[in-house]
Amino acid sequence: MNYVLVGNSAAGLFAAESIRQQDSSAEITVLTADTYPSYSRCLTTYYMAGDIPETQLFLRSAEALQALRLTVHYGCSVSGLDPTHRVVFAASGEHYSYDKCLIATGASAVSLEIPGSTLPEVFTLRHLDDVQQIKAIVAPGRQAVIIGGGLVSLKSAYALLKQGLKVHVVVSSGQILSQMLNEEAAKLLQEHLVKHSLNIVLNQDVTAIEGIGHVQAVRLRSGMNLPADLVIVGKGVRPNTQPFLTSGLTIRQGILVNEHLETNLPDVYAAGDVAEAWDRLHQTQRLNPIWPNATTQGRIAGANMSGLALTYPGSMGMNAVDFFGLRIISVGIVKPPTSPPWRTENLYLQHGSGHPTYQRLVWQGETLKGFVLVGNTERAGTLTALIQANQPLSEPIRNTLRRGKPSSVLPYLRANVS
Amino acid sequence: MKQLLVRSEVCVGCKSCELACAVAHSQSKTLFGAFLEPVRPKKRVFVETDGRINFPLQCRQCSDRPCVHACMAGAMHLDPTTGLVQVNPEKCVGCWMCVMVCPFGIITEGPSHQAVKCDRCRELDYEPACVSACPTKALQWVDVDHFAAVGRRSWVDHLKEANNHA
Repeated sequence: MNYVLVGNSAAGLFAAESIRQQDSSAEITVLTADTYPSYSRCLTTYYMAGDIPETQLFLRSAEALQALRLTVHYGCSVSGLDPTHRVVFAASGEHYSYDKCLIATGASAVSLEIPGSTLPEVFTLRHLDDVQQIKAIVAPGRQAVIIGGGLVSLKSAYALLKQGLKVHVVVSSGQILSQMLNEEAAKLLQEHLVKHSLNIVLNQDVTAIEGIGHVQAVRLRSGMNLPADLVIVGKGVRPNTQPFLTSGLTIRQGILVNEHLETNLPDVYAAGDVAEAWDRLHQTQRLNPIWPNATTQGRIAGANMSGLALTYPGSMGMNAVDFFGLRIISVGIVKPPTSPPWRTENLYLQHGSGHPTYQRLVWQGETLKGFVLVGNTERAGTLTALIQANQPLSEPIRNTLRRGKPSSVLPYLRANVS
Repeated sequence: MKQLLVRSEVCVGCKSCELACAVAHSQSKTLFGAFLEPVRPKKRVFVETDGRINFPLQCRQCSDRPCVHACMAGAMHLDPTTGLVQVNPEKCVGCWMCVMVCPFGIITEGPSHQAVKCDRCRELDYEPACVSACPTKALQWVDVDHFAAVGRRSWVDHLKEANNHA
């Protein structure tokens, strides 16, 4: 059997491992625009911060990769797919025949179309190359402006602060991490980041990046200028569907896949940031570009490509962060509708370590649909499991959870037993 | 293959397993030595109780391995030689994505800002210290078939008992 995997990141790698596990004689060809072996995009800011060396970015050892026996074509941009002749085309003119094909092309950072955005010190952060370029001009005392208040933006800000830069974050909306956190939790994190010298400007847009030949400042809508030696644009990501627009694939924002991660074309699967797979909380197909969803989809798509019939249980929005020792985990729906049966329960606790401790539970009737933990995040996974169980919880269990006692794993056990 | 299995009905909540676990993961491997170490060793088993049920809980080695999928550093991995999920401390960056998805809540933070969980006493050649320490045999290191056979026998005994009373 001849497998062609387009993409070499989370979904591509986990699919390859899954296929190899099922089919020891499979021919697995991996086409990737990247020029490096599979690495973790999520760790690039840790590398930028100086927390880890470059070698730690790579997900598998050379021996582990060798054992997978993949034929990897690096620097290979894919330009199209012909489902009738079962061929994937590369921009270089090469073509690759497949029996089964996985599209795991991921997503690209959205760039900003404003005056000055083509200056050499304006970056997006997605690839290892982006980080290498940023690292080359980072020096203590320099100033950086980060446009956007999402996770990549804040992780970049953290990295640059650790490198001794003066960092400003400009956010269009009224809070940071608006997709991951509710307002109260965001405020707790904001206070913590400000204590660590981050300058956060809310409700403000960047209208231009100024400088002749080099970035010198960033102009805000208010008319104010922020001095800057470098700018990072963190305005989210867009699925890399362009090569497949004329291939006959059903594409909305991403490539639509069913519960087996099959696309509408025979023997063509999609997984990871490029795919719109089932979302168990929103009960529809939806983009969910986070690491655990990509790896799980990759594993299941790979298994199904090699003959199994596994069902994808569905994605969920979730994330975990740790900024200067303050931990936050957010899972599921954290900003529910304000009308019944939706309800939220928020609990502030004082914590010994000096960090704020906060818990928010989001309920639809008696069913847990989301939570945010700030400070003490131990055993967050038990709450995640309760959301995944998607069952109404009894009053004693709801009371235990409401009290915010972290060591309450027994409710989960009992919920599963009863 | 032997598994770490629990008979929660005989657990009295004495926490001997917690102590033995911390000692087994210390430098000195002795109780007093462990107390004197500059960095106290971390236990990886937790006796949970709600007044009615006691349960010594550690990594259950889930077959769908959510922690391995969530790990963005490649640190949480399936060790091919033992078939066990383990943390590679050289790769863990302390992002806590595994904590976010572990349904048993048994992953905690180690001394160097890294994820720590039950490793089935890798250093003791997979003879779990918690099992050796358990005075009531609530924790068992047994073949699944043996564990099931004992369970069946005890069910039959209960049935006989019930008939005697009837």
